Amino acid sequence: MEIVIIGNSAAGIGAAEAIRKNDKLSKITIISEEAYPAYSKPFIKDILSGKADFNRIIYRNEQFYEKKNINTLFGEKAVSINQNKRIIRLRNGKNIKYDKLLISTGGKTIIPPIKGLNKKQIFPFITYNDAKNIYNFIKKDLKTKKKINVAVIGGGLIGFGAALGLEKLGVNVIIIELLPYILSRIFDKDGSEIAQKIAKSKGIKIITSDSAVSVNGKGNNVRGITLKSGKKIQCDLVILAAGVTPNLEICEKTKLKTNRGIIVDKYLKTNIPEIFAAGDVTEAPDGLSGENNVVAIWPNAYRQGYFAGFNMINIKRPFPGNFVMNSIDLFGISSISGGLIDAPDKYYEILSDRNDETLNYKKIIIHKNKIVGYIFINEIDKAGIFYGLMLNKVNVKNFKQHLLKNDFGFVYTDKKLRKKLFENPA
Amino acid sequence: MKLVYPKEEVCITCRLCEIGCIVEHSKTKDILKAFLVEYPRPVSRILIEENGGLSFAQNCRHCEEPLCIEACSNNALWKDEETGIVYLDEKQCMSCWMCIGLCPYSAVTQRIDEKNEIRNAVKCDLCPEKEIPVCVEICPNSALFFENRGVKNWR
Repeated sequence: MEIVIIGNSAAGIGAAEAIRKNDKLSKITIISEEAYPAYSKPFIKDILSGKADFNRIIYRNEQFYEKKNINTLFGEKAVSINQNKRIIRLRNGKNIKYDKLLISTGGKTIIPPIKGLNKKQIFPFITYNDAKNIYNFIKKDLKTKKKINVAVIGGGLIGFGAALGLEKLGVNVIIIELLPYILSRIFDKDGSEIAQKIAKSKGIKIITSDSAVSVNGKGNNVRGITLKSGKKIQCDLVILAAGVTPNLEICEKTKLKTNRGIIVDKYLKTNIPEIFAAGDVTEAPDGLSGENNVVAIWPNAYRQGYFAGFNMINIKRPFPGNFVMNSIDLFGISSISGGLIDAPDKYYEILSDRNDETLNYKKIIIHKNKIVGYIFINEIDKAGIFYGLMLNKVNVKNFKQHLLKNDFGFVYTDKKLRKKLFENPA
Repeated sequence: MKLVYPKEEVCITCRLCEIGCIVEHSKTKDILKAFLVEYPRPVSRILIEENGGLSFAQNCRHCEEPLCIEACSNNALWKDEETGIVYLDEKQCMSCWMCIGLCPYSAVTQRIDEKNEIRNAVKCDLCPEKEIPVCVEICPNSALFFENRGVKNWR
């Protein structure tokens, strides 16, 4: 069988690994627009800060592809799919045949409607190249200028990640967020307030409930930004971090069903039987609601790819569903959130504890005696237990009163659960 | 594969397993130096949970399909295909703590030593240099067993 994977990040690798676990014979080909082996997208912030080089953030090195007998077409772009002939067309004109295809093309930067985006010093922040370009630019500029001002448009995970890297470079950072709070998909209002407090203490300026309408400058060069409120900001560089959206380019001219992302069933299969999709490009069933959604985080992408891999070689394994989980470094303070961050209605129970002095915050959301969401700032040691309780839909009725305790752990849960997990997994 | 299994009924919270683990994973393997001299101080990979009279020691389950490996975007975690042991390369780890967020057993621990700029995750490696993991060997109460009861995932 000839298996082709478009995209060489978490989902593509997850699929290749699952396939090779069970099938040493099928031909696997990975096509990637980027010219290098898989690397860690979350750690491009350390490329931006200069803390790490490419080798430090490699996810699977060249030997991996060799050892697993995977053909690589790196630096080649897949431009179209002929679903009837089962052929992929590359930018260089070559055709690649497939029996089974995985689309894991990831996400692309949302370009917000801002005037003047054709200037030189405007960068997205999704790939290694983006991070390297920003780093090189700032390093060069730091030689001639005393201080560089960088405006980050968007205060979500990507924008915050950029701010973390930029702060280490010693430039002035200003985050512009459309919503009233930064990191609003990861934290609730309380969590965001704490995150904002920490960021501000590190010298990051944050403007919320406002957005950029134009990038101003002199000729090709960025000089500043005008905001919707009328406010003007001086800056030398702009990072576009208004979010990512599934990269659906390859689906054009196919009959693939798409919404925000490529729609798949619980086997990660699209509406075309030989074509599967996984990762940030995919709209798969959610683990909590059961409805299809895009959950663009690394482990979710790997897991989708991994389950897709099994199903592509006809080993039927239903995907357990998308589960959100993020771990964010708040300038040295650890934080983790998972599942829902706010209760959708009054039938949800909320347990919470906020301490602004210690910067500790805990919040647990329970629905019908099951954990459906949580936020932990500063103390994250036991966060994984909550992920397990959520993933496995464990009834927490008997130990609910202990969930917020500092030393919460399996000793507080039901003996039956503890025995099952730790004494006899059979 | 063989794993470390606790028996909570006979655990007396002496924490010798933690001490043994710290010494075994120290540079000097000397209890005094490990606790008083070595920087960064080694961290135990087995943890006692305690509530009232109940306690038990928990460590990595070396899952069939480990969630910690799914979580790691930096290739610091991998499963040895022959032995089944899940290893964490502490030097490769870049401390994003995603493994901590995903491990449903809470078997990965943060090691933070600001003074020495050390931040990395640590976890049980089943003491590959020893026949029996040190925690099992040192337990005075037979509250830890090193046996093959089958490896699974909790999901």
